[in-house]
Amino acid sequence: MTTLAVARRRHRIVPYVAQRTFIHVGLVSAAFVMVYPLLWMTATAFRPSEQALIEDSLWVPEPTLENFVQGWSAVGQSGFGVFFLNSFIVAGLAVIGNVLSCALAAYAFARLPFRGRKFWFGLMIGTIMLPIHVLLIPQYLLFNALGWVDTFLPLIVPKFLATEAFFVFLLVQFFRLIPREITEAGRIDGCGHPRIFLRLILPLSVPALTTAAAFSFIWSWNDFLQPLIYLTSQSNYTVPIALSLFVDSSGTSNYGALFAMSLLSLIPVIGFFLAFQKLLLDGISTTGLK
Amino acid sequence: MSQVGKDATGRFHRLPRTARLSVALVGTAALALLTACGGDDGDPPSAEDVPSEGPIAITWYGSDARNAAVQQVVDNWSAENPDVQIETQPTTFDSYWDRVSVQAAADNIACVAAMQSRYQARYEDRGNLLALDGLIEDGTIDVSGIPEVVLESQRAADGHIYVIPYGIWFEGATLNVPRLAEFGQTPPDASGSWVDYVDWALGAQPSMPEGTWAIADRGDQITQFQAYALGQGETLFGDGEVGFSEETLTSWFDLWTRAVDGGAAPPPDVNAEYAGVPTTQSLMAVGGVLVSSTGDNNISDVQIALDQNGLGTVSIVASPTDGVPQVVGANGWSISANCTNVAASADFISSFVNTPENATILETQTGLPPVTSVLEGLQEDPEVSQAIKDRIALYFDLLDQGATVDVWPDGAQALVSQIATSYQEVAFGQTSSQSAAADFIAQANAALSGF
Repeated sequence: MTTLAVARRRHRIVPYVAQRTFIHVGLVSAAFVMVYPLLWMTATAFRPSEQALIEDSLWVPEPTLENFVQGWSAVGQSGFGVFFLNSFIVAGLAVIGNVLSCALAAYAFARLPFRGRKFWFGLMIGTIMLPIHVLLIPQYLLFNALGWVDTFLPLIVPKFLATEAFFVFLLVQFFRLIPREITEAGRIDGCGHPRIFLRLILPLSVPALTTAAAFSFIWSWNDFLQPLIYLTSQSNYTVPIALSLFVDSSGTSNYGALFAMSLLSLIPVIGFFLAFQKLLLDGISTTGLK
Repeated sequence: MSQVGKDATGRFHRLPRTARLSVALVGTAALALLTACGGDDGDPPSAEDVPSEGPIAITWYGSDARNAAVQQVVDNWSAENPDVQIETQPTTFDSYWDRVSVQAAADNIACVAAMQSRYQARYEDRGNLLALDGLIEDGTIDVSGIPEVVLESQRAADGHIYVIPYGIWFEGATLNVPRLAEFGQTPPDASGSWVDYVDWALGAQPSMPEGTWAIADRGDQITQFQAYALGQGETLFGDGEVGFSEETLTSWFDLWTRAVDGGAAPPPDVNAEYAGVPTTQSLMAVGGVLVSSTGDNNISDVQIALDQNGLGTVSIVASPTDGVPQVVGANGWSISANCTNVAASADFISSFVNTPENATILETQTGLPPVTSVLEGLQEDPEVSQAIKDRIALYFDLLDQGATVDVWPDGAQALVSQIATSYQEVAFGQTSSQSAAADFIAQANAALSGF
């Protein structure tokens, strides 16, 4: 290679490196801005409670676990162990219910020809536009009449009835992408709809099902209003309700314990994302979800 | 072709079965609605008439520390009444009203439900609460120690009492007298009005160091505007509309604009920065202002923050109403109309209010105890802090001056945030004070009229 060629190549590399460096610095800076609240919450969880809202920095000169120790048992006689267990029960069963029932409903809308299919699908999509506040009182009246108030049933049973139109829509979109030739081949081999659904559709739809499961878990885990309305005994509280008890507009608030327990409450959500990261990204990219 | 509707006789029977069911359901609902709206014209029940079987649920609001204290009182009562099964349902203040409003729609409120003077009218008016007059008259609920003016303030428009106060709170002006003395200033005359306070602040400001203001901007505080309106001979609420004039609200906004423009109160951007911060982070608590206002129960928190930074001592005086008696607020206990063990609920309320040991446990976190002898006991208790004793002394003074419990009409809660929005628009120069006042009154009247 001649000296001239080397010089030209070097001339090309230098702007490339500078450009890449500039882009990376920009991205890292933007990412830091996005992540700063989370980092600040983490730092604050390890600060003494009286300094909770005073310090802006991420540096904690004398970290302490006092907020975790105090926060874990500060609310009620149950403690956060029970609240986490309650949240896991509700969110776990909500995931199972949503994935099972919404997949069944979605299969019907995507693959079964029946009268008024488009109308019913449109009606179901329309329910997404109904705000929860419109439904709250009628639902409460119903569940109260059934004697389900202060139990987990109002938070779980509807999930087994394909009431989450968003997930039905998401899965319908994915099922429609599966080539019909596959299911027709199954029919030629003698499969009915149940076997086609279980043996062909579900195994091919793992990314979409994982996406539905992840969103279902996160929404259910973070849900505040419905547990607030339906769960009245402290021993039945989920984590978001228990967290809210640390901060009260009419009295003294315990911000240190709030941030400590909030940090713990993020662990399951982050763990869920990390465990199913690849499938989630596949599901989001193939269903056009943004 | 269907013949439904053509024959007046037997029309109902010609309807399809599903339609008949719908008509029946609508009819039942309408009947239920009429029954609910019709109210109960009978006398409030006495101890002999009320049900006394089954468990009771007790619900209240507060932070974790307050909830723990109330829970301890409940546990103590439970220990004395082992035959009564109790379920407690504490939550935070804001969440509490969301939950109770839904429960009220289903007539499923807890037997013993906390109420607050700013919120209780809705549940009284809608028939969700039990009239307690009969239980008061026969002594089941002992209110003999509660000042008559406090109890009578709770009487609803229909003449009944639905709520027994368990904690009194009030707002007053707060002064950092030692810091004022550092800067060569004497505090403003506590018997004056907010106009006198602002005039005083404008005179005092030149002696303040940079970053310290003589007075906090109170233009966005509905309670302090109420004090101002009282001083003008007006009230916050009239009959289904506001009780003050547009001129009064305009002059209130102008007053605080004058304080800010004169440099005696923080500019709007500083106010916005501190809006909604906890009491311990407020401008008063960090020494940024030397005169402000707050609820009496916040004084201890402010003092803790001042002590941490060596920034003086806070004291509370009456709201600047220009000599007119101010109003106080009350947290109270009610019994729901759907309660199946009224006897135990009434006993719990009576015990909660009258047992001196409860006041020691609660440490005024739920407000000052309403029973005079209990308050006097706290004043004599060497274990009780001086800050609490000062609050009690001021409360007695307010009662002597003719203070009453201010029960807000339904829909009035929205005014708290509405006046803040209106004032901020004025402070940031987005609208004139007169226009903001007119808009606020229009919105307030709409809220108070029930729409």
